[in-house]
Amino acid sequence: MNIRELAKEAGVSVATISRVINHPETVLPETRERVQAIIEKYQYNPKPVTRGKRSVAFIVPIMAHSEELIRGIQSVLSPKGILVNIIESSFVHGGTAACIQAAAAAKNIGLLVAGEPGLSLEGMPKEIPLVLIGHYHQPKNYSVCYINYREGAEKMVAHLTAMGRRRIWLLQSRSDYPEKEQITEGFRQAVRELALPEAECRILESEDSVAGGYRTCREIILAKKPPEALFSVTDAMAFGVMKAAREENIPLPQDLAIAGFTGSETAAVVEPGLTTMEHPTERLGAVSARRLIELIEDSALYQVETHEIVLKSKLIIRQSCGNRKEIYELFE
Amino acid sequence: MSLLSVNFMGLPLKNPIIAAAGPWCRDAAAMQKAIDAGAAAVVTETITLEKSHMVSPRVFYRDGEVYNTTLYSTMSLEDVEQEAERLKKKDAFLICNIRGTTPSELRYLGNRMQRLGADALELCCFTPIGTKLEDISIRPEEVGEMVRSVTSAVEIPVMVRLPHHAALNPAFARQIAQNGARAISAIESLEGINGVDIETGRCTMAAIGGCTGAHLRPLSLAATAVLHQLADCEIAAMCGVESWQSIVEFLMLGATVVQMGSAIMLNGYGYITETLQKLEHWMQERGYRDLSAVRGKALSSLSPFEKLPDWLLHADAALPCDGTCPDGCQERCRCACLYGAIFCKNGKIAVDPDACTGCGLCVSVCPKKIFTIG
Repeated sequence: MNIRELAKEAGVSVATISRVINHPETVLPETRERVQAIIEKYQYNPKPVTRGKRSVAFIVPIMAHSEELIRGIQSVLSPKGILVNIIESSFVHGGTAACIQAAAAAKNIGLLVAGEPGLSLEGMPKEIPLVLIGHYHQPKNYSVCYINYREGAEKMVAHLTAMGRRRIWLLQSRSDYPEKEQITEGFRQAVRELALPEAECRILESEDSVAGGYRTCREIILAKKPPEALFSVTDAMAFGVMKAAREENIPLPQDLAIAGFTGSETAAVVEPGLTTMEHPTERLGAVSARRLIELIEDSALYQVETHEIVLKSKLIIRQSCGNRKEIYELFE
Repeated sequence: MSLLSVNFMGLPLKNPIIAAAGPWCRDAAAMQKAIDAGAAAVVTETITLEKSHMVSPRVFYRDGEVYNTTLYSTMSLEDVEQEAERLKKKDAFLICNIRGTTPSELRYLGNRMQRLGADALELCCFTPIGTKLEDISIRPEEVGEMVRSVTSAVEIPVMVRLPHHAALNPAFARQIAQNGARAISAIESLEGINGVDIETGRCTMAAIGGCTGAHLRPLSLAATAVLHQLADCEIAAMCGVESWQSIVEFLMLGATVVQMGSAIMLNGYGYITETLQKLEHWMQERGYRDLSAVRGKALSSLSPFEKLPDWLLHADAALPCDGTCPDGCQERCRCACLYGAIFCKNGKIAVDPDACTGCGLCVSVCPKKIFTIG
């Protein structure tokens, strides 16, 4: 008997059952006694995640890009004495799906799965608690935690527009990374909503590196109608563009506004300071791990609580897009 | 039923003093002190998914004004839960103050807090300091969505904390009540800088802080009265809640309870006990049976400008005065009279009734209180 069935039997909510177990003094004596009697009758015993040699698997395409996420996950699981097995799915034949099967078969008590927006969970093991990290086309009955990159991209375009730029180009990465589609969608949406000249708001693709951004900048300079602003999905590519622009004597940000999106530390050091986005990645790791622990402790929570936790990114305004106000820097 | 007991959001509080969210409620030991001192409920320091870090210095004081640059709790969610376990609530209640950037984040925190045994929630949809959670809820509809997302998920009562500008905006009050919140707490501390050192050209604080103190009470008193008209829910008045008299003022303007914050920080937890005793004594002396007789009592004496009677009164110098103020100043009343109605003749202050328009400033400006108006 799970907590939900128990609640039904007792004619109270799941929250009340939980309060009777954890904080009996907060429940009316009459209700408390009734619930306690039912708990005893069915010998309900929630399984707290106790200290010991327990492990959770974190499945991610490439570990190198997930440092902050892992730090967030560890911040919650380590104090509970739970080990984190990191599995890099891009090196495994069969990808994420195969990793899920393998990790479930090994003695993990729960799974955290990141990456691969198109992932199908059809036929995946149901008996092991699982939390998806990242924006999926939400599979039913799974808990999903993600950062709203789409909204972040919209916010960046809105900022560039507020800085007086209307011909805005998006510099995408050539590689397929999980957030790619969301960012492109956000860019397109903002261009439409802000009534920018759609035909003049192009999307370029480049290798995701400083060198890639540098090479792409040539194309920008040669364009008949060069952009007034360039929104790069990584700070690295933005740095490359800045380097090329400087060599070509294009005054920044007067003739070309440049924005990054990955919130790198270097963005604060370059001249002019690069406007970029800060993503709550560590918080995402922490909340995903918390959600997983909750599901392990009580699977009934699948049904009673939200399936989706969405986090928001923050715009860091520096000078690379034409901002001159000190206060933004002051407030960072 | 004691003299001070009051029902707030359905919680039977033993008195109207709640210890507000802040560093004086940062952990179980701190909250315990507030409870032991007699607070009817304690509000935790703001809980988020990601703990904050300490900066130094972070709290500034000047002539009764307090400036606090603390963002929110420096404890992780798990630590907060452990602290809550340790708390001996006795007959007091635990209110968890939560903050998040999105409706789903707030709902998650709300659920967590309900499970740890919170008796109520206080939502922070605005923040006076820091931009970590940036453009959070500027529009009333967004606040409404956040509130709904929590109230639809939890069973415990929910209140929403509002800053001054939002408290005076009918759209926010409406959204909050319509979306299931039981109370509004207002006003949040105001964004403040305590000064600029003009010799060095530097601010005397490194970041903008949340400013509170008795000097802001006129704002929170007005906000209480306005909210009482606008909002279809209870009011927890805050900002400038200090003496027992000020508590009576808030209650008389329609507040159900008050939240005490920096007064605890400045005077110690024992100040709660002392204030409660004085409040109870006053109630007894004045023959009040319970707080409902006090609540809202002053509201009927307040009217909108349009309804004020348009008769004209005239000031009169009722007591003799030679124009010397006790502090050595000369004829402060005459300097302050914009209508030139006050003059000094033969060493005696007098009012020209034909020039006086009855503005009343002289009555309150005179340190000797020689003027009457009628």
